[in-house]
Amino acid sequence: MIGRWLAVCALVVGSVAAGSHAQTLMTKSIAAPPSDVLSGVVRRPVASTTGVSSRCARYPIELERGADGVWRASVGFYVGDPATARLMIVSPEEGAWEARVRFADGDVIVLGDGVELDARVKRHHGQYGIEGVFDPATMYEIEGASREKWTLEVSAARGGAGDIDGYLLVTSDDPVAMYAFAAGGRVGEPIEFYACLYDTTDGVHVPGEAMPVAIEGRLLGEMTRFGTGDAVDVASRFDPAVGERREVSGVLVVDTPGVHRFEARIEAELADGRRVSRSATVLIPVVDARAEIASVTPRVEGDVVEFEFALGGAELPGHFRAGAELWGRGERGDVPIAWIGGMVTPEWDENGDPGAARVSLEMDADWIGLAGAQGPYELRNVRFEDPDFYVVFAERGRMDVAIAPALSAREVGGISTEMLTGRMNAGRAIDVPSVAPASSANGVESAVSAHNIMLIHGYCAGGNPWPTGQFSSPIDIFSDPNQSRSNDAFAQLIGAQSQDSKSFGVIAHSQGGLASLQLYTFYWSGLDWARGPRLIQSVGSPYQGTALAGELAVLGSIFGTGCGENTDLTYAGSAAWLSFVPTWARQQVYYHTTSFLDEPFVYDYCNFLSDFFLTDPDDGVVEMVAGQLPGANNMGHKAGWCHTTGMQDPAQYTDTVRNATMNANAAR
Amino acid sequence: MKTSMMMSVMAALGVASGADAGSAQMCVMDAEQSIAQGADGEVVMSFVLPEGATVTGVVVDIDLDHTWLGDLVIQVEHDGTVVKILDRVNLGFFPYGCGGRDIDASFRDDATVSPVDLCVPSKPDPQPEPMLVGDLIPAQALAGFDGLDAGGQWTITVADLAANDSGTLHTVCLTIEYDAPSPCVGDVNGSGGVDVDDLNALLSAWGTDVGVGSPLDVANDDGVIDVDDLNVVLGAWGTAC
Repeated sequence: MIGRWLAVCALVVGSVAAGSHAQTLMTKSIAAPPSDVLSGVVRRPVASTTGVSSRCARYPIELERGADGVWRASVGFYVGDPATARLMIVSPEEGAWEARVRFADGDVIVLGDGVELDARVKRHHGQYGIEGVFDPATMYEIEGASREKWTLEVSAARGGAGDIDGYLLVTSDDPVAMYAFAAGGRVGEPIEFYACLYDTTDGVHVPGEAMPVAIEGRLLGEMTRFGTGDAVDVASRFDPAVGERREVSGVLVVDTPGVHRFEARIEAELADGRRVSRSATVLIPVVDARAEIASVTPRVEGDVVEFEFALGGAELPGHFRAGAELWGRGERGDVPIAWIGGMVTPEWDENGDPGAARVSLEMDADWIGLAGAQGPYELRNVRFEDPDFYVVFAERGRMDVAIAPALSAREVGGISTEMLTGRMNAGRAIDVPSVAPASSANGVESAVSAHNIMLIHGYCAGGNPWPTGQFSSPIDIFSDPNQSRSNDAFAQLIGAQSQDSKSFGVIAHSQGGLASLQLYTFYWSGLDWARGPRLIQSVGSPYQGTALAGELAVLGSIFGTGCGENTDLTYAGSAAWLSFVPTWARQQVYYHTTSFLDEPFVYDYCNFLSDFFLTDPDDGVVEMVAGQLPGANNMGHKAGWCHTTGMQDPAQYTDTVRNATMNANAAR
Repeated sequence: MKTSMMMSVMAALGVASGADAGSAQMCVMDAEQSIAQGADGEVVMSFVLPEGATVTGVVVDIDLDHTWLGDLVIQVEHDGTVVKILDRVNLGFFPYGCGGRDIDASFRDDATVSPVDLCVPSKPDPQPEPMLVGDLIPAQALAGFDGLDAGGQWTITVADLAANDSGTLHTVCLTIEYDAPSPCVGDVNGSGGVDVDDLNALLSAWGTDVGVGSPLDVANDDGVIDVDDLNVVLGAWGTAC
């Protein structure tokens, strides 16, 4: 590179002694064929198609001290179908509360542990959470009560410990659901949000499908709230428009980067007189990165075409995702040649404009020969995204690029590995955390420089959940307990902890599957050298997100437990993440899904709280539909197994039969 | 384990004064030596070449199986000089180097392909085996032997510097190109000239069977000293070599 451009990260790293702790990962120059472009695999998803569906409503319980010294709260709500109503009170103090439900006709049902329940009420004690972090909760099934407004009345000897003392969750089998979405965005720029009620009789919205049509109804109440993890209210900054249909929409502007929340609740009377309450929580990642893509300069060096982008006014992360489609002219019009992308590192103008930077994408020239496309060539859908939140901070719809026409005459037999991943020795180095290899991190004796199976846990896990005795040595055990990380940060840790492995295959639980795929897609690692039938095997991985990503963090926050929000695990976050993962990478994933055993005429679930938010079948965290990874290998769905221990059915990672199969087929 | 092989190579005789170029090749086939950490494969070859022959080029052909080429250091040693032709390939890009298998290649300085360029993962396609094939650029130039006395012992060692992978060394061929001083025709006693002492030596063995290869049998190497040999000495009479 030209002298005055300063590379933030060294382009070439020195030798790393075997067994030492790597400080860097080498990036791949990834590409996808025209079929991935035309099918939309590598297209940025439309925010309105990746919203969250909710068939429950969550209300805060905020106790206020009365003149008599008693703390009281009152929450009004509608259950939709009163024959199948389910309420849950979530609070660390819930056991000390007196609670009752008052109906519009004056009838009262008393709730609580120390009281004899009305015949219409069934009480379930349990816990909710994920992995090893669970909090207590009590759920009440209430049958045959009024369809009018219900009011939960709570009284307590003490309260006010925080802004919110607890939450009331309300649901029923009524098919009305809320659909809500918000796009991620940049500090100081408008962020669109939207929520509506829709009918799920013909099916719950599936991520990626067009947004559902809002149903008509009379608005009874509406709440729209924004906040950070600390629930800082920025409501004064938005202007929602409430239309005839039951919709809430508007534009939000925030001043600080981070994960913000959009919480919407709608109470409505439908055309047939049913009254429902529904709410949803949408996480909004906001970043302060920015740049203007000023120009692109293509250069051909040997078999590689380098596209160097000049950026102005740039404030950039140390590395980020960049991608673009290259188009040319075919016999019948414009044709895609390839999508190119990868993790890139900016090079700054050390002597000139502090906001001037350059980044490069590289492409194998054989793509042009394979397509046989003539010029003029152009890049389309150029986008630079934050590596953790996938917020687009710079984009260009089209950019002309002057490439020598001779490249189209290259004779190419087919798509080679180098065309898809670039060359191992041509990657750029990305700094990664310096961590101990997996074996030493766990006190497990694994062979250094071995061909391992790496057992990987998921989001917020307290440690390795896999029964190690069911897997053949040598194995490495990944450990990063009680953390919430982006797929990229997670992947970098796997890469750093895999330094005991010459090569390895992965058996992953939950987010570990996503992180492994992230590692394989963007970085060179021992995964690339592994041999054997199945490279990445996963169980219960939310490849298309989970509705719990926002809710669990909210509920856990009142207990001071949990690991916080994770935008990668939302429907929108996972869709954005996947839009940089070509089919060739997905094809290395072999995934399994599970769900609770659904007995006839019994209210079944894996976890009674998460069942409020998830669409059956689910494993208590991941819905079967959202556990699918298009383009990968679906190894089947199995009922009777839940996501983690502490749920209704055994934890899916303890399934001896599946573990034996995965062990036998694992690449190493 | 060590395989040794002696081979005597006679270079073609030059017809003019000055240096003569030649080459000699020696192969150890079916060596079948194990390669593992702590157990190097090693082949020793001894070349008998014309006196004064100096190295002008070296080519090493290797055929081996190994499950992790990044473990390997292959070196050639001769006369105190060591040249590594493969050195933990791709170790700079991956902590354990190249994960490919097997070599069937010729290491030579005039090659244009580096092992570094061949040693890349091929997922999603199967890895090619052998991964290193064809003419390859050695890690260090084999020209490092140039100018050394070509004759004598050459040792090719395949060392495995990491655990958990192993292999077998099948075949090693070493080709040495050299320059040798022209022989002094008629100087049957090696005195550096053709004179009466050469004539006397010839006449003292006249008519006897001296055996093939005798320095006295200068004309046709038929084992018999006769008039043909005498004519060679007389024809070179007075020559100073």
